[in-house]
Amino acid sequence: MQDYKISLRHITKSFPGVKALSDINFDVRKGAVHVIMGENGAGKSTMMKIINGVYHPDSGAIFIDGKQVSIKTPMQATELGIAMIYQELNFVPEFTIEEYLFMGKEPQKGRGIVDWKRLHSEAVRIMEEEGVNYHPGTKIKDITVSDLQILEIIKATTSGAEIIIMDEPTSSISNQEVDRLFQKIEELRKKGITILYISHKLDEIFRIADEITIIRDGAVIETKPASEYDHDTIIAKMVGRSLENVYPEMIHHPGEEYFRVEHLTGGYFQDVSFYAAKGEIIGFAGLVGAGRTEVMRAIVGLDPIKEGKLYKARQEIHNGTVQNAKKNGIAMVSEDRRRYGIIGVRSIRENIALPNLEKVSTYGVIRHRKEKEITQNYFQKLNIKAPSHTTLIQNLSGGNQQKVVLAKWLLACPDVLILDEPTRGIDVGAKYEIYCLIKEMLAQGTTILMVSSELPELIGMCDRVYVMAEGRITGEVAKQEMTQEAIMRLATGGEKNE
Amino acid sequence: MNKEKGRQDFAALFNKWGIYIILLLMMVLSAIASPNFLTVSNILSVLRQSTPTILLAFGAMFLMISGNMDLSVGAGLAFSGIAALEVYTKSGNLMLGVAFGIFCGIVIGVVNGVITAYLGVPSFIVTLAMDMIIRGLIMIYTNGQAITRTDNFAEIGQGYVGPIPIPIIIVAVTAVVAWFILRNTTMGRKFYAIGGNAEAAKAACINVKRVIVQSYIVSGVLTAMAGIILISRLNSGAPNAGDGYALDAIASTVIGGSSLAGGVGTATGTLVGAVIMGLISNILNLVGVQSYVQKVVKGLIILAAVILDVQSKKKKS
Repeated sequence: MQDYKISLRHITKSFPGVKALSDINFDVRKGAVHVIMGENGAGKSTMMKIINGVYHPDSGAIFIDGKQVSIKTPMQATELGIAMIYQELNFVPEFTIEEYLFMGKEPQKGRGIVDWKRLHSEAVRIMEEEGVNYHPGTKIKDITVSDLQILEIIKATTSGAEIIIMDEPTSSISNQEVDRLFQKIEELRKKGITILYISHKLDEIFRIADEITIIRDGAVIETKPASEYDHDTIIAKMVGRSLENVYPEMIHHPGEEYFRVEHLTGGYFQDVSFYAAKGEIIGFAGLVGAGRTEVMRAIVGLDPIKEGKLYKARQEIHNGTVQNAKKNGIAMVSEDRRRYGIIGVRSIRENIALPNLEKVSTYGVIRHRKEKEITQNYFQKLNIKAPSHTTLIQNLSGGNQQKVVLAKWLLACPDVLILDEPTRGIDVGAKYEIYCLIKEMLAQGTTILMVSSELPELIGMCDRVYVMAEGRITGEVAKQEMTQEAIMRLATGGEKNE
Repeated sequence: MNKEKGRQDFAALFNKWGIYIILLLMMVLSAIASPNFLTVSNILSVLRQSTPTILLAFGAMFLMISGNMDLSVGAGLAFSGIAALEVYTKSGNLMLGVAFGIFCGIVIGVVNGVITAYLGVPSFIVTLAMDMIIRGLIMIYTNGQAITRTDNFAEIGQGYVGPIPIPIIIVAVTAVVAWFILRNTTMGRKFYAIGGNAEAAKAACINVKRVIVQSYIVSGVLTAMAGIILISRLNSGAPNAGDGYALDAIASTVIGGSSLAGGVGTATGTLVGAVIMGLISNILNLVGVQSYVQKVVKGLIILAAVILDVQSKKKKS
């Protein structure tokens, strides 16, 4: 064990109702880039949070340089030379870059008095060395995610970190920025710093990985040198079955045109037009920030529309508010479950009933028996895993929360259902169940608009895909010509037939 | 690990039954400390004295569940109560007086609610300013003097139906109605929803702004009822009536298990919380604690309740 920088032995961790990690064992060589791969919900982030002292394992031990350590707080982790670069950077928007770089370790003259002069000159020196082209007085809120990431890494190394954990660092940065990040990682490796890199993006990891550990359903499947893997073997190990079974077989015959959007313009998008038939599922592809979510929010009345028209069954409709959208038979399941989807402190039952109160009440009085009947029906139909329908929704896993959110809109029986990243952050099994539900709804004639950043999901599920870039629709891809390459070309602003 | 589990069980148990146990303990302690405590007349008088606080606590509960608060209820209470008294003495019609008082409560609620919901000002600030404005208006109207001509207005606060004081009957009916609203009506569901997560509630077709105004109206009605009862019982329309009651009401609600973060709270909890607050004063009086010291003790108890609330939530997550 002496050759390893960090080792995990028999780490187990449970949350109420869920076993997040079971008997995790793996070792990371000193100065290696060690990639942890796994589907969403496989337990990658939980594992890293244990190493970083945010969570405490129920049992098991962590060794650093061969010595057993106990990491109870992120502060202790820092003392042990562990730094974590979070997926969502926990920055302080109003701080300037120089204040941020030295946050918590400002140079001092005398006790408790900040030496601003030295702080400034040190910051300038570090930023020049690292090639960060900003004025040190720039506020954090004014710099890009990529630059912030580099700053985080600089912060980590200047405070003497020997192990740096990166949690999906490329999830919201551009390709050039990825190159820059990987260059940085290469530098760190040369300095002998050990890197734990979490990702589920196959393409990029082969560029940097020395070793790969694959986890699935909270257990380590295997750890091997990166050279012994290729795309397909990794996918097979990550998913635990061959890829053909990820999506249900989609045989359906969309009817005639039913829903149409013409020249829609709003805050972040211009001149968006598309149509969908009854029982058809159309996808919306694009990079983060392409404006897909904004279009959907405008359709459903959450954001204002500047120009453009909506038609359903050849009739023009006006939404303006979510209430009207619901009356017009249009509903949306948001991408941000925690923010827009659930009311955490209330029960599953109340959450399901919320947009359907008129169905379970007479003259404003709730009919508890009817409510129970209806919600329990969906509870079983969607296979929601929870002790009872009165369980608070915040105690459920992400996948089950998503099922509750779906249930409440299924109950509303919309004609047009918008799904924004319906499977984000949920495990493979639950994904499959959600896909089957989508299929069932299509069979009943529901029109579904699905926004997704997972191309295989769009290709596996959709009849047609619209691609957006910078607030505009840049192309439409039919079922037979759907490939990841074709979609990506449009998403990055290229032409379809280049 | 077992120890941790034991601690969690305790926290869960405390969350569910804690305040009832505290109420029981306090009654036992009081009975030991003072033989006068466990007499029917003392209990009834404690309850009657607590009625304004209990009504205000129900108001605070509705607001807290829907994610707001109202610091102007002390002034609102005095305003509505005095308004009711004045209309009654001028018209001679008691029902008209009461109706006008409640109307004033509703108007104050609408103003607070509309500014909070539609202009997006935090309720803390809106109602703090409103408290000053209303109190000032009362002082201007009364010239700082208590209104002492009350005729038969005292009947509401001092009368009896059989052996039971009228204010206690009003509180009992209010408690049942509050319980019903929260548990059995769509309005109650909406209160919980907007307090639990306003954005998700909006996405679930709830008109969040309108529901905020509704919660302020409910609170306004309860405030006016509290004002009418208080002024009627004291037989005097004092311009400083209800001063400091807002925080007592909020404290009662928190002791009763409502979450300051919104979305959580029950009518039974609030009732018990408010009775506990009333009992504290009563006990301290019975054992002869000075009123200045009482303030300190009350503050400490509120602090303890909130610390327990926050800690038990931390353990859950």
